[in-house]
Amino acid sequence: MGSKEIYILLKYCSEASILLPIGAGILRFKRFNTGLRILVFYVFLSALVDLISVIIIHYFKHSNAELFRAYTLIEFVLLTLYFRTLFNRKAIKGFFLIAVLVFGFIDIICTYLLQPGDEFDSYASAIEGLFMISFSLCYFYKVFTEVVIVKLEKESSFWIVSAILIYFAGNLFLFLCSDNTLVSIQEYFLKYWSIDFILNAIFNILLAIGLWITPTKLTSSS
Amino acid sequence: MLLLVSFIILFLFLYQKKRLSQELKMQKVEAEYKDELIVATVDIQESERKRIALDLHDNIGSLLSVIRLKMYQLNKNTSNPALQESYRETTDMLDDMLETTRTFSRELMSPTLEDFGLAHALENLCTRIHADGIMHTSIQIVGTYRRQPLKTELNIFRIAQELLNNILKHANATEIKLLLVCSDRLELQIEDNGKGFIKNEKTPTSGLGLKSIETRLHLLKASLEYIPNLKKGTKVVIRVPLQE
Repeated sequence: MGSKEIYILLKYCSEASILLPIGAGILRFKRFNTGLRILVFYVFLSALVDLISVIIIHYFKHSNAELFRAYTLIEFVLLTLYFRTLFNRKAIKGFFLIAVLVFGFIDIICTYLLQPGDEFDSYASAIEGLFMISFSLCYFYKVFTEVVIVKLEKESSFWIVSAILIYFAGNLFLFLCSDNTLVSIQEYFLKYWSIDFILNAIFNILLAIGLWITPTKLTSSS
Repeated sequence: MLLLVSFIILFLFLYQKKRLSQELKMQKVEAEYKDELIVATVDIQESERKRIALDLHDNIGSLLSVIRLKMYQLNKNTSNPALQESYRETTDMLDDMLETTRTFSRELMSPTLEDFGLAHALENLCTRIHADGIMHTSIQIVGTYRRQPLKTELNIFRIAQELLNNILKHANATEIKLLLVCSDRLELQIEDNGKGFIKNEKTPTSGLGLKSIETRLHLLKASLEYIPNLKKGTKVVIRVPLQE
Protein backbone atom coordinates (compact mmCIF):
# COMPACT_ATOMS: atom_id res chain seq x y z
CA MET A 1 0.00 0.00 0.00
CA GLY A 2 1.49 3.32 -1.08
CA SER A 3 1.53 6.52 0.90
CA LYS A 4 -1.33 7.92 -1.20
CA GLU A 5 -3.53 4.91 -0.39
CA ILE A 6 -2.66 5.21 3.28
CA TYR A 7 -3.48 8.90 3.09
CA ILE A 8 -6.90 8.19 1.56
CA LEU A 9 -7.65 5.44 4.09
CA LEU A 10 -6.70 7.71 7.00
CA LYS A 11 -8.77 10.52 5.49
CA TYR A 12 -11.88 8.36 5.33
CA CYS A 13 -11.27 6.94 8.81
CA SER A 14 -10.77 10.42 10.21
CA GLU A 15 -13.91 11.72 8.55
CA ALA A 16 -15.94 8.71 9.65
CA SER A 17 -14.68 8.96 13.24
CA ILE A 18 -16.90 12.01 13.78
CA LEU A 19 -19.84 9.58 13.80
CA LEU A 20 -18.63 8.17 17.15
CA PRO A 21 -19.10 11.36 19.24
CA ILE A 22 -22.27 12.16 17.29
CA GLY A 23 -23.70 8.74 18.18
CA ALA A 24 -22.64 9.04 21.83
CA GLY A 25 -24.06 12.57 21.94
CA ILE A 26 -27.46 11.52 20.55
CA LEU A 27 -27.79 8.44 22.76
CA ARG A 28 -26.76 10.15 25.99
CA PHE A 29 -28.01 13.68 25.38
CA LYS A 30 -30.72 13.53 28.07
CA ARG A 31 -28.14 12.87 30.78
CA PHE A 32 -25.86 15.73 29.80
CA ASN A 33 -25.18 18.87 31.76
CA THR A 34 -24.66 22.29 30.16
CA GLY A 35 -20.99 21.70 29.42
CA LEU A 36 -21.59 18.44 27.61
CA ARG A 37 -24.51 19.89 25.66
CA ILE A 38 -22.19 22.66 24.43
CA LEU A 39 -19.74 19.95 23.41
CA VAL A 40 -22.41 18.01 21.50
CA PHE A 41 -23.31 21.21 19.68
CA TYR A 42 -19.63 21.66 18.83
CA VAL A 43 -19.41 18.08 17.47
CA PHE A 44 -22.46 18.60 15.26
CA LEU A 45 -21.11 21.92 14.04
CA SER A 46 -17.76 20.32 13.28
CA ALA A 47 -19.44 17.60 11.19
CA LEU A 48 -21.57 20.19 9.40
CA VAL A 49 -18.55 22.35 8.58
CA ASP A 50 -16.71 19.31 7.17
CA LEU A 51 -19.73 18.52 5.01
CA ILE A 52 -20.10 22.10 3.76
CA SER A 53 -16.37 22.20 3.09
CA VAL A 54 -16.60 19.11 0.85
CA ILE A 55 -19.57 20.61 -1.01
CA ILE A 56 -17.76 23.95 -1.52
CA ILE A 57 -14.65 22.27 -2.91
CA HIS A 58 -16.26 19.60 -5.08
CA TYR A 59 -19.40 21.35 -6.37
CA PHE A 60 -18.53 25.02 -6.29
CA LYS A 61 -14.76 24.62 -6.87
CA HIS A 62 -14.17 27.39 -4.35
CA SER A 63 -11.68 27.72 -1.44
CA ASN A 64 -13.00 26.72 1.97
CA ALA A 65 -10.59 29.05 3.81
CA GLU A 66 -13.36 31.57 4.65
CA LEU A 67 -15.47 28.81 6.16
CA PHE A 68 -12.61 27.59 8.34
CA ARG A 69 -11.80 31.11 9.51
CA ALA A 70 -15.33 31.45 10.88
CA TYR A 71 -15.20 27.89 12.22
CA THR A 72 -11.95 28.54 14.16
CA LEU A 73 -13.59 31.40 16.05
CA ILE A 74 -16.79 29.46 16.79
CA GLU A 75 -14.78 26.39 17.80
CA PHE A 76 -12.76 28.50 20.23
CA VAL A 77 -15.89 30.04 21.75
CA LEU A 78 -17.62 26.67 22.22
CA LEU A 79 -14.62 24.88 23.69
CA THR A 80 -13.88 27.83 25.99
CA LEU A 81 -17.49 27.77 27.20
CA TYR A 82 -17.10 24.05 27.85
CA PHE A 83 -13.94 24.68 29.92
CA ARG A 84 -15.80 27.45 31.75
CA THR A 85 -18.33 24.90 33.04
CA LEU A 86 -15.51 22.79 34.52
CA PHE A 87 -14.45 25.50 36.96
CA ASN A 88 -16.30 26.81 39.99
CA ARG A 89 -14.62 30.04 40.93
CA LYS A 90 -16.23 33.14 39.50
CA ALA A 91 -12.86 34.78 38.79
CA ILE A 92 -11.81 31.85 36.61
CA LYS A 93 -15.17 31.79 34.84
CA GLY A 94 -14.66 35.50 34.10
CA PHE A 95 -11.17 34.77 32.82
CA PHE A 96 -12.62 32.44 30.17
CA LEU A 97 -14.92 35.18 28.91
CA ILE A 98 -11.95 37.56 28.70
CA ALA A 99 -10.05 34.85 26.78
CA VAL A 100 -12.90 34.74 24.23
CA LEU A 101 -12.67 38.52 23.73
CA VAL A 102 -8.87 38.40 23.44
CA PHE A 103 -8.98 35.58 20.93
CA GLY A 104 -11.70 37.37 18.93
CA PHE A 105 -9.45 40.40 18.70
CA ILE A 106 -6.43 38.26 17.66
CA ASP A 107 -8.56 36.45 15.07
CA ILE A 108 -9.63 39.76 13.50
CA ILE A 109 -6.00 40.91 13.29
CA CYS A 110 -4.95 37.60 11.72
CA THR A 111 -7.84 37.65 9.24
CA TYR A 112 -7.50 41.21 8.02
CA LEU A 113 -3.83 42.04 8.57
CA LEU A 114 -1.59 38.97 8.77
CA GLN A 115 -3.28 36.38 6.55
CA PRO A 116 -5.87 38.13 4.39
CA GLY A 117 -7.58 36.63 1.34
CA ASP A 118 -7.78 32.90 0.63
CA GLU A 119 -4.91 31.94 2.92
CA PHE A 120 -5.64 29.46 5.73
CA ASP A 121 -5.77 30.97 9.20
CA SER A 122 -2.74 29.06 10.50
CA TYR A 123 -1.73 31.82 12.95
CA ALA A 124 -5.17 32.00 14.53
CA SER A 125 -5.29 28.19 14.69
CA ALA A 126 -1.88 28.07 16.37
CA ILE A 127 -2.93 30.69 18.94
CA GLU A 128 -6.18 28.82 19.50
CA GLY A 129 -4.07 25.70 20.13
CA LEU A 130 -1.97 27.56 22.69
CA PHE A 131 -5.10 28.70 24.51
CA MET A 132 -6.59 25.21 24.48
CA ILE A 133 -3.36 23.63 25.79
CA SER A 134 -3.28 26.22 28.59
CA PHE A 135 -6.92 25.56 29.50
CA SER A 136 -6.31 21.80 29.51
CA LEU A 137 -3.28 22.15 31.76
CA CYS A 138 -5.29 24.41 34.07
CA TYR A 139 -7.95 21.69 34.27
CA PHE A 140 -5.36 19.01 35.06
CA TYR A 141 -3.80 21.25 37.71
CA LYS A 142 -7.21 21.88 39.29
CA VAL A 143 -8.06 18.17 39.30
CA PHE A 144 -4.68 17.27 40.78
CA THR A 145 -4.79 19.86 43.56
CA GLU A 146 -8.44 19.34 44.56
CA VAL A 147 -8.40 15.50 44.44
CA VAL A 148 -12.19 15.23 44.71
CA ILE A 149 -12.83 12.83 41.83
CA VAL A 150 -12.85 9.23 43.05
CA LYS A 151 -12.28 7.49 39.72
CA LEU A 152 -10.69 9.79 37.21
CA GLU A 153 -10.95 7.29 34.37
CA LYS A 154 -14.72 7.33 34.83
CA GLU A 155 -14.91 11.10 34.62
CA SER A 156 -16.14 12.37 31.24
CA SER A 157 -14.32 15.71 31.56
CA PHE A 158 -10.98 13.87 31.93
CA TRP A 159 -11.41 12.12 28.56
CA ILE A 160 -12.69 15.23 26.83
CA VAL A 161 -9.89 17.46 28.09
CA SER A 162 -7.36 14.74 27.20
CA ALA A 163 -8.82 14.72 23.67
CA ILE A 164 -8.51 18.49 23.43
CA LEU A 165 -4.94 18.45 24.77
CA ILE A 166 -3.74 15.71 22.41
CA TYR A 167 -5.47 17.20 19.37
CA PHE A 168 -4.41 20.81 19.80
CA ALA A 169 -0.90 20.07 21.10
CA GLY A 170 -0.36 17.63 18.24
CA ASN A 171 -1.62 20.12 15.68
CA LEU A 172 0.46 22.91 17.15
CA PHE A 173 3.55 20.71 17.02
CA LEU A 174 2.71 19.83 13.42
CA PHE A 175 2.28 23.52 12.59
CA LEU A 176 5.61 24.45 14.19
CA CYS A 177 7.43 21.64 12.37
CA SER A 178 5.80 22.31 9.03
CA ASP A 179 7.57 24.11 6.27
CA ASN A 180 5.37 25.84 3.70
CA THR A 181 7.82 25.15 0.94
CA LEU A 182 7.90 21.43 1.75
CA VAL A 183 4.11 21.12 2.12
CA SER A 184 3.83 21.80 -1.56
CA ILE A 185 5.82 18.60 -2.21
CA GLN A 186 3.31 15.80 -2.53
CA GLU A 187 5.07 13.20 -0.35
CA TYR A 188 5.54 15.67 2.48
CA PHE A 189 1.96 16.90 2.03
CA LEU A 190 0.62 13.34 2.39
CA LYS A 191 2.62 12.70 5.58
CA TYR A 192 1.63 16.04 7.07
CA TRP A 193 -2.07 15.50 6.53
CA SER A 194 -1.91 11.82 7.49
CA ILE A 195 -0.72 12.81 10.96
CA ASP A 196 -3.48 15.40 11.12
CA PHE A 197 -6.05 12.72 10.25
CA ILE A 198 -4.71 10.41 12.96
CA LEU A 199 -4.92 13.24 15.50
CA ASN A 200 -8.46 13.99 14.40
CA ALA A 201 -9.49 10.34 14.72
CA ILE A 202 -7.96 10.10 18.22
CA PHE A 203 -9.71 13.36 19.14
CA ASN A 204 -13.09 11.99 18.03
CA ILE A 205 -12.59 8.62 19.75
CA LEU A 206 -11.65 10.26 23.06
CA LEU A 207 -14.57 12.69 22.74
CA ALA A 208 -16.91 9.76 22.15
CA ILE A 209 -15.58 8.02 25.29
CA GLY A 210 -16.02 11.23 27.26
CA LEU A 211 -19.59 11.67 26.03
CA TRP A 212 -20.43 8.02 26.55
CA ILE A 213 -19.31 7.95 30.20
CA THR A 214 -22.22 9.07 32.33
CA PRO A 215 -21.33 12.38 33.89
CA THR A 216 -21.28 12.35 37.66
CA LYS A 217 -22.53 15.20 39.82
CA LEU A 218 -18.95 16.23 40.47
CA THR A 219 -18.43 16.97 36.79
CA SER A 220 -21.23 19.43 36.66
CA SER A 221 -20.29 21.21 39.84
CA SER A 222 -16.50 21.06 39.81
CA MET B 1 1.80 12.44 20.29
CA LEU B 2 3.31 9.57 22.29
CA LEU B 3 4.67 12.14 24.70
CA LEU B 4 1.20 13.58 25.23
CA VAL B 5 -0.36 10.18 25.74
CA SER B 6 2.44 9.34 28.20
CA PHE B 7 1.75 12.61 29.99
CA ILE B 8 -1.94 11.76 30.38
CA ILE B 9 -1.22 8.21 31.58
CA LEU B 10 1.37 9.52 34.02
CA PHE B 11 -1.11 12.11 35.23
CA LEU B 12 -3.72 9.41 35.79
CA PHE B 13 -1.20 7.31 37.72
CA LEU B 14 0.01 10.20 39.88
CA TYR B 15 -3.55 11.30 40.53
CA GLN B 16 -4.59 7.86 41.75
CA LYS B 17 -1.48 7.71 43.93
CA LYS B 18 -2.24 11.11 45.45
CA ARG B 19 -5.88 10.20 46.00
CA LEU B 20 -4.90 6.97 47.73
CA SER B 21 -2.44 8.71 50.01
CA GLN B 22 -5.08 11.33 50.84
CA GLU B 23 -7.60 8.61 51.57
CA LEU B 24 -5.10 6.88 53.87
CA LYS B 25 -4.44 10.17 55.63
CA MET B 26 -8.18 10.66 56.11
CA GLN B 27 -8.56 7.15 57.47
CA LYS B 28 -5.71 7.78 59.91
CA VAL B 29 -7.28 11.03 61.10
CA GLU B 30 -10.63 9.27 61.47
CA ALA B 31 -9.04 6.44 63.47
CA GLU B 32 -7.24 8.94 65.72
CA TYR B 33 -10.47 10.81 66.27
CA LYS B 34 -12.27 7.57 67.07
CA ASP B 35 -9.55 6.65 69.58
CA GLU B 36 -9.79 10.06 71.23
CA LEU B 37 -13.54 9.63 71.42
CA ILE B 38 -13.18 6.21 73.03
CA VAL B 39 -10.64 7.54 75.57
CA ALA B 40 -12.95 10.45 76.39
CA THR B 41 -15.94 8.13 76.75
CA VAL B 42 -14.07 5.77 79.07
CA ASP B 43 -12.72 8.71 81.10
CA ILE B 44 -16.21 10.16 81.49
CA GLN B 45 -17.54 6.74 82.44
CA GLU B 46 -14.85 6.34 85.10
CA SER B 47 -15.28 9.81 86.53
CA GLU B 48 -19.04 9.28 86.65
CA ARG B 49 -18.54 5.94 88.44
CA LYS B 50 -16.23 7.67 90.89
CA ARG B 51 -18.78 10.41 91.55
CA ILE B 52 -21.61 7.92 92.09
CA ALA B 53 -19.37 5.79 94.34
CA LEU B 54 -18.45 8.81 96.44
CA ASP B 55 -22.09 9.92 96.63
CA LEU B 56 -23.13 6.45 97.72
CA HIS B 57 -20.39 6.26 100.32
CA ASP B 58 -20.50 9.82 101.66
CA ASN B 59 -24.19 10.72 101.43
CA ILE B 60 -26.34 7.61 101.41
CA GLY B 61 -23.87 5.60 103.50
CA SER B 62 -23.58 8.35 106.11
CA LEU B 63 -27.34 8.89 106.24
CA LEU B 64 -27.94 5.18 106.67
CA SER B 65 -25.39 5.11 109.51
CA VAL B 66 -27.13 8.04 111.23
CA ILE B 67 -30.55 6.38 110.81
CA ARG B 68 -29.13 3.15 112.23
CA LEU B 69 -27.79 5.05 115.26
CA LYS B 70 -31.15 6.73 115.81
CA MET B 71 -32.90 3.36 115.60
CA TYR B 72 -30.47 1.99 118.15
CA GLN B 73 -31.22 4.90 120.50
CA LEU B 74 -34.98 4.45 120.01
CA ASN B 75 -34.61 0.77 120.72
CA LYS B 76 -32.72 1.59 123.87
CA ASN B 77 -35.35 4.06 125.11
CA THR B 78 -38.35 1.80 124.63
CA SER B 79 -39.57 -0.93 126.92
CA ASN B 80 -42.26 -2.28 124.59
CA PRO B 81 -41.07 -5.73 123.40
CA ALA B 82 -43.08 -5.53 120.17
CA LEU B 83 -41.50 -2.20 119.30
CA GLN B 84 -38.06 -3.49 120.31
CA GLU B 85 -38.47 -6.42 117.90
CA SER B 86 -39.57 -4.06 115.16
CA TYR B 87 -36.58 -1.76 115.78
CA ARG B 88 -34.23 -4.75 115.70
CA GLU B 89 -35.62 -5.92 112.36
CA THR B 90 -35.33 -2.42 110.95
CA THR B 91 -31.74 -2.16 112.22
CA ASP B 92 -30.91 -5.47 110.50
CA MET B 93 -32.42 -4.22 107.26
CA LEU B 94 -30.42 -1.03 107.60
CA ASP B 95 -27.27 -3.09 108.13
CA ASP B 96 -28.00 -4.98 104.90
CA MET B 97 -28.60 -1.72 103.05
CA LEU B 98 -25.39 -0.26 104.42
CA GLU B 99 -23.42 -3.32 103.32
CA THR B 100 -25.02 -3.28 99.89
CA THR B 101 -24.22 0.41 99.51
CA ARG B 102 -20.60 -0.21 100.47
CA THR B 103 -20.36 -3.10 98.01
CA PHE B 104 -21.80 -0.96 95.20
CA SER B 105 -19.46 1.83 96.09
CA ARG B 106 -16.43 -0.51 96.08
CA GLU B 107 -17.49 -2.01 92.75
CA LEU B 108 -17.86 1.38 91.18
CA MET B 109 -14.55 2.67 92.49
CA SER B 110 -11.88 0.45 93.96
CA PRO B 111 -9.78 2.41 96.47
CA THR B 112 -7.39 -0.54 96.65
CA LEU B 113 -6.65 -0.16 92.94
CA GLU B 114 -5.74 3.49 93.27
CA ASP B 115 -3.72 3.00 96.46
CA PHE B 116 -2.05 -0.40 96.03
CA GLY B 117 -2.33 -1.30 92.33
CA LEU B 118 -3.88 -3.94 90.13
CA ALA B 119 -2.47 -7.06 91.82
CA HIS B 120 -3.89 -6.09 95.21
CA ALA B 121 -7.19 -4.97 93.70
CA LEU B 122 -7.60 -8.33 91.94
CA GLU B 123 -6.74 -10.15 95.16
CA ASN B 124 -9.30 -8.02 96.94
CA LEU B 125 -11.92 -8.75 94.30
CA CYS B 126 -11.30 -12.50 94.57
CA THR B 127 -11.43 -12.37 98.36
CA ARG B 128 -14.79 -10.59 98.24
CA ILE B 129 -16.32 -13.09 95.81
CA HIS B 130 -14.92 -15.93 97.89
CA ALA B 131 -16.12 -14.35 101.14
CA ASP B 132 -19.63 -13.96 99.77
CA GLY B 133 -19.65 -17.72 99.54
CA ILE B 134 -20.88 -17.74 95.98
CA MET B 135 -17.86 -19.38 94.47
CA HIS B 136 -14.44 -20.63 95.40
CA THR B 137 -12.12 -18.01 93.95
CA SER B 138 -8.33 -17.97 94.04
CA ILE B 139 -5.61 -15.84 92.52
CA GLN B 140 -1.97 -16.60 91.83
CA ILE B 141 0.57 -13.95 90.87
CA VAL B 142 3.66 -15.07 88.97
CA GLY B 143 6.60 -12.65 88.82
CA THR B 144 6.93 -9.25 90.41
CA TYR B 145 4.14 -6.90 89.68
CA ARG B 146 5.33 -3.37 88.88
CA ARG B 147 2.72 -0.66 89.06
CA GLN B 148 1.39 0.65 85.76
CA PRO B 149 -0.31 3.96 84.94
CA LEU B 150 -3.64 4.14 86.77
CA LYS B 151 -5.62 4.20 83.52
CA THR B 152 -3.98 0.95 82.36
CA GLU B 153 -4.60 -0.73 85.70
CA LEU B 154 -8.16 0.51 85.79
CA ASN B 155 -8.89 -0.82 82.30
CA ILE B 156 -7.44 -4.27 83.12
CA PHE B 157 -9.35 -4.30 86.38
CA ARG B 158 -12.63 -3.41 84.67
CA ILE B 159 -12.10 -6.18 82.09
CA ALA B 160 -11.45 -8.69 84.86
CA GLN B 161 -14.48 -7.40 86.77
CA GLU B 162 -16.68 -7.78 83.69
CA LEU B 163 -15.42 -11.29 82.93
CA LEU B 164 -15.92 -12.37 86.54
CA ASN B 165 -19.44 -10.91 86.50
CA ASN B 166 -20.18 -12.92 83.36
CA ILE B 167 -18.95 -16.10 85.04
CA LEU B 168 -21.06 -15.38 88.14
CA LYS B 169 -24.13 -14.70 86.05
CA HIS B 170 -23.98 -17.27 83.27
CA ALA B 171 -21.34 -19.96 83.81
CA ASN B 172 -22.92 -22.05 86.57
CA ALA B 173 -19.39 -22.51 87.90
CA THR B 174 -18.26 -23.41 91.38
CA GLU B 175 -14.65 -22.36 91.08
CA ILE B 176 -12.74 -19.50 89.45
CA LYS B 177 -8.97 -19.37 89.13
CA LEU B 178 -7.09 -16.21 88.29
CA LEU B 179 -3.47 -16.17 87.21
CA LEU B 180 -1.56 -12.93 86.75
CA VAL B 181 1.76 -13.40 84.98
CA CYS B 182 4.07 -10.38 85.13
CA SER B 183 6.95 -10.25 82.68
CA ASP B 184 7.71 -7.83 79.86
CA ARG B 185 3.93 -7.87 79.45
CA LEU B 186 0.97 -8.65 81.67
CA GLU B 187 -0.97 -11.82 81.15
CA LEU B 188 -4.18 -12.37 83.02
CA GLN B 189 -5.80 -15.79 82.84
CA ILE B 190 -9.31 -16.34 84.14
CA GLU B 191 -10.50 -19.91 84.25
CA ASP B 192 -13.75 -21.37 85.53
CA ASN B 193 -15.27 -24.82 85.76
CA GLY B 194 -18.68 -23.82 84.49
CA LYS B 195 -20.76 -24.97 81.56
CA GLY B 196 -18.34 -23.56 79.01
CA PHE B 197 -18.63 -20.94 76.41
CA ILE B 198 -19.19 -21.54 72.72
CA LYS B 199 -17.49 -18.78 70.88
CA ASN B 200 -19.28 -17.72 67.75
CA GLU B 201 -19.09 -14.69 65.50
CA LYS B 202 -21.89 -12.80 67.23
CA THR B 203 -20.98 -13.32 70.87
CA PRO B 204 -17.79 -11.25 71.36
CA THR B 205 -19.39 -8.01 70.20
CA SER B 206 -22.90 -8.37 71.51
CA GLY B 207 -23.92 -6.97 74.87
CA LEU B 208 -22.83 -3.84 76.67
CA GLY B 209 -20.33 -5.66 78.89
CA LEU B 210 -18.52 -7.28 76.00
CA LYS B 211 -18.55 -4.00 74.09
CA SER B 212 -16.92 -2.37 77.10
CA ILE B 213 -14.29 -5.15 77.18
CA GLU B 214 -13.62 -4.64 73.50
CA THR B 215 -13.22 -0.87 73.93
CA ARG B 216 -10.84 -1.25 76.84
CA LEU B 217 -8.80 -3.90 75.02
CA HIS B 218 -8.49 -1.47 72.11
CA LEU B 219 -7.27 1.28 74.44
CA LEU B 220 -4.73 -1.07 76.03
CA LYS B 221 -3.69 -2.44 72.62
CA ALA B 222 -4.24 -5.77 74.30
CA SER B 223 -5.53 -9.09 73.04
CA LEU B 224 -8.13 -11.44 74.43
CA GLU B 225 -8.19 -15.13 73.70
CA TYR B 226 -10.82 -17.71 74.53
CA ILE B 227 -9.04 -21.02 74.87
CA PRO B 228 -11.24 -23.84 73.62
CA ASN B 229 -10.99 -27.62 74.02
CA LEU B 230 -11.29 -27.48 77.77
CA LYS B 231 -13.16 -30.45 79.15
CA LYS B 232 -15.21 -28.19 81.35
CA GLY B 233 -15.44 -24.45 81.75
CA THR B 234 -13.80 -21.60 79.97
CA LYS B 235 -10.35 -20.08 79.99
CA VAL B 236 -9.82 -16.51 78.92
CA VAL B 237 -6.35 -15.05 78.44
CA ILE B 238 -5.73 -11.34 78.24
CA ARG B 239 -2.32 -10.16 77.09
CA VAL B 240 -1.41 -6.54 77.72
CA PRO B 241 1.80 -4.99 76.40
CA LEU B 242 3.44 -2.83 79.02
CA GLN B 243 4.57 0.75 78.60
CA GLU B 244 8.25 1.51 79.06
